[in-house]
Amino acid sequence: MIKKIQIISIAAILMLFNACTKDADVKLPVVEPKLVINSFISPQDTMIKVEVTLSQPLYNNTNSGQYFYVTDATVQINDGVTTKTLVYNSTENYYSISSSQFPIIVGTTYFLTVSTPDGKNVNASTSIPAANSTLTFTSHLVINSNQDSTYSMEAKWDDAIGTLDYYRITYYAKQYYSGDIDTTYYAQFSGNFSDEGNDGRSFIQNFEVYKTNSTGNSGELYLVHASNEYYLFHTKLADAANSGGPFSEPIQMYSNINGGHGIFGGFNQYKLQVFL
Amino acid sequence: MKKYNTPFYLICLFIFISFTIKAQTSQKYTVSGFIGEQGSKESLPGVNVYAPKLKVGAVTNNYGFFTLTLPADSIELLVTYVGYKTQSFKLNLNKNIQLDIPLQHSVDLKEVEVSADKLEKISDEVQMSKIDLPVEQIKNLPALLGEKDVLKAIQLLPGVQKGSEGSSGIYVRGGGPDQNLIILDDATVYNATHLFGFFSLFNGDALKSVELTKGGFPARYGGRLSSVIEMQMKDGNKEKIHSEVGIGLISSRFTVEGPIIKDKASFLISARRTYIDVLTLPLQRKELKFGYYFYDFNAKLNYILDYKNKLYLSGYFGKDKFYIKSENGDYKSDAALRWGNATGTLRWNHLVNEKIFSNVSLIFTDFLFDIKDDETYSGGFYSLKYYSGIRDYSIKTDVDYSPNPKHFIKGGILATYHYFRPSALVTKSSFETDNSSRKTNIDAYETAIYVEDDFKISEKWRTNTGIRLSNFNVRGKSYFNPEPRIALRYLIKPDLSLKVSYASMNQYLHLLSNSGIGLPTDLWVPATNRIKPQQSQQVALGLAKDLKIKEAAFMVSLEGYYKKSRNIIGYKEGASFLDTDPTQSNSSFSYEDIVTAGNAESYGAEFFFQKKFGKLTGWIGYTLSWTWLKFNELNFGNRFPARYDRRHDLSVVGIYKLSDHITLSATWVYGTGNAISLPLSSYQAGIQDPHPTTNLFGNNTTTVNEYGDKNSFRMAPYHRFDIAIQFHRNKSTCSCDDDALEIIKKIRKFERTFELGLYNAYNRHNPFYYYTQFDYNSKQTKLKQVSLFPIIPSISWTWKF
Repeated sequence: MIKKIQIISIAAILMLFNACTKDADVKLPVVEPKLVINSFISPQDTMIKVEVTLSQPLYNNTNSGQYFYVTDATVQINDGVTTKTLVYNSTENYYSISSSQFPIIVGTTYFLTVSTPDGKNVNASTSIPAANSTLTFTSHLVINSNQDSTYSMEAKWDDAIGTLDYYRITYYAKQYYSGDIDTTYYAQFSGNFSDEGNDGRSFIQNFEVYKTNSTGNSGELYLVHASNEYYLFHTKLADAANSGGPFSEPIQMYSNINGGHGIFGGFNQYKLQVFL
Repeated sequence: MKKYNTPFYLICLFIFISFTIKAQTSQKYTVSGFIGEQGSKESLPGVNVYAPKLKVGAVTNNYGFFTLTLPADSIELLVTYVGYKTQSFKLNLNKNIQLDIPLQHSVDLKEVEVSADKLEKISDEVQMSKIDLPVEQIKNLPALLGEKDVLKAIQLLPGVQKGSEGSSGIYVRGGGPDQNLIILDDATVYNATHLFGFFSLFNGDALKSVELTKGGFPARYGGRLSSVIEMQMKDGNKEKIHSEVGIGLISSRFTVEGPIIKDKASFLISARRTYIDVLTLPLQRKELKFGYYFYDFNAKLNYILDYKNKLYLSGYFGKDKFYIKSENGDYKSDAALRWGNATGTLRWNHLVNEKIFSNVSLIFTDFLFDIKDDETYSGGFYSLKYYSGIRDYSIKTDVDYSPNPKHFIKGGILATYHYFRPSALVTKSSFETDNSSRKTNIDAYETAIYVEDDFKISEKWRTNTGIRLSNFNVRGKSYFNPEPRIALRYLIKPDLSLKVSYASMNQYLHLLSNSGIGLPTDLWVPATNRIKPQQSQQVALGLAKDLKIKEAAFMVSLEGYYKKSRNIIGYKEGASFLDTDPTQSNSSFSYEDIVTAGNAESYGAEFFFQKKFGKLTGWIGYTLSWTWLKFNELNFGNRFPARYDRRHDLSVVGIYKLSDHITLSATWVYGTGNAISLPLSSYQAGIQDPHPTTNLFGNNTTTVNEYGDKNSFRMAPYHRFDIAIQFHRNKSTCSCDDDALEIIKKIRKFERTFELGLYNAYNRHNPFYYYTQFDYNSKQTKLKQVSLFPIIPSISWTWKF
């Protein structure tokens, strides 16, 4: 009898853990493609750029995973007084206008409207915070136990009292490969911050960058003083990138584009050249 | 926060009770005693003792004690209990009488023998939203792999939903699994699941009673928002040694009970162990060994000091272990994942006088989860130990007092010391720099005091009014909350009543869980100065009817409820229990940083139609419900349906005794699919880059999925049909031939049951989870469904000695 139980048990366990996978037998959600706007504006820009694409429904769609530029849209920007129409640049695939024709000014709220001949209409607004130039930087080299070493870095900046402020800090460095210098800058660290609950206090952000043979001796530190829209969008993107795997809740992406997806975000950027 | 005049409620209640008691005083005597099972002398809770002439009665408490104070007269008492023969006594009540009653077990009560009006009636009780589940019925139900499971039987009741396929997680009236107070002999059981949630700790062998309360909580219960599942262990047969052995597909179990000193002391031991590890042993190689097992061990001792004093010592110990051992040359690795509960309760029953019964309990409970990884290699070693857990020490006193048949008063006090260890990590290595030790311990103190009175105001009106005052101290922060409770019953007709109840509840513990399936990685954490306690208020309104159709008795209830909960916590978007692994986090990690608090709202209606006796027993339970969540940090602050929001939930359960030797049982369940977030479309999002290359965002774009509103997609509905057949053979019913093996001859002398079962009999592919996959042939994204359990047969044997 024991033998019999053994055989049946093994069979049952094999069945138990042999999960079955098949196409889901449910009515799949049907959604229409929507306009996707990607645009960040700041006083540092020489050109205001707006990218317009279409979202792709995931199911019953052979174009799934391919993203098409919308080339025939009417894209207009307004500062509360003046409205300007942006022109499509077919080489770079964005709509643009020179900041000399339409300057981006601190404290102003900007409105963006995009419409297409097939009747799609979206709009969004954002405002431009003042630049924060209080950024300071220190770094020192740390030799680790396993003989590798890291740069321990500290970025510090002050927060204005009485306003809701949002920041994004990014450290960029070039990479060196066996004697050749790669001129591309790579983001080594990036973080998003809000002063909610810490109004008026100084921000201190520590981070580490591995020192390798290809690490250069200088870098660039950017402090973005961001609009709320810019901050929420980048925070959600960072959450999505760091999502905790199969058990974590999916990230609902932030968008301030009414009737569409994407971002129209204002910011003001301060750059610090740093030497290690 | 609202200010309460705290002692005010208690004083009012005492004045009210004292006044009504005083007003009714005349020459009265008390009949009191213990009711137990004939033969085993096992005390029986919930037995009805009824004086038909006076239309008053009492119910035995958890220790089988009843008391009934009546006017001096010649009276008749009826003693009724489901599954036992009704007994009748004629007494001349001219003095206090002590009446200990043995009730005779009746395996197959004919329906005509039990007229509904003699039995416990649902329309008579003031308590609503409460269901007793006979342990025998649980043992008759079909079960996954034949493993009988109390929590899965509870999932079949209206108002109770399961989480996902095969899981024993329980969602009561929209509440999460952490909001259920699971008590075994007064001890809280924190993680009631084995095998990653697929089986519960309770198989029924050691249990005497199981009771679920899902609303209208009397003041004696507290500490959780959604339900109380109270289980009492058997005391152990006081007359003779009795044992039971069961062999199933994945586990075997045995129970032994009997007297230590006849009529004075008895014991019970019950154990179960799986043998997946043993069975797969021949398939494993020396280089790589892995396995899994769990075991349960229940033990109880009880000692009668004298008629007025009894001692009970009971305990539960259980453990799950998953291990992997590998060996490759000099390299050896030994890793394991273990979790387990231990509870212990020492109780002292004291009969102060014929009207006052008291119990003092000392309670210990512990849940521990740990991961260990020991590695050795030539010239070095590395060892990691991670653990998390909770340990409680409690003292509790409860007093039952019945001055007259109109009042049954309960009062009590509870003090608990909680010792939380949300996470601790110790690493040791031959490299000294890798050595670390980090522990987060939190101490907390929880106290509560309560009083409640079950008051029969008149023939038609009955109420249970009470208040519980609860207090929680943690990290210098103190929370104090009064919790008023009231339940009212109005008898519309002799067998039809209208009930209404209100309960306010507080829960000072949170469970960090986003798997929802009862993984041991779920962390119990306390409310702190940053995370507030969970609170709920619930109102329920219902009709209860005792029905008689052609001598068959039915209980029917229809209830509507509305529950609002505050400060419930969930992980922030993108966070998961994996983030609580301190090996992956920075040293300033705290669970308070990755959770967000919100509110829940649930409402619905439940229909329950139950037949407790006769050849055919079972029930139909239907629930129509809504559960909404609202968190500032989730779904952009808009409310969204909970994952286990279930519009329709239906359970049909039938157990049919075909003959003395054959029992058939079947269950069919149907539930609306879980609400989940499904990606609907995707697009390219740009990241602002100070160093754009040729095009606008350079390489700094990312593909983003759009999910629509949170939990806006419904999984396919869940339904399943299970069936089982049991063959019973009583002792000496077969004459064995001479050729039969000696052991078989012996086996056949015992009472035995052979069971065949089919789980998911029509092989429904219920979705466990969905994922998307790009199909290169059709160039389309497909939604894929993973199903867990196909049709699964089971077989088991049970012998009783």
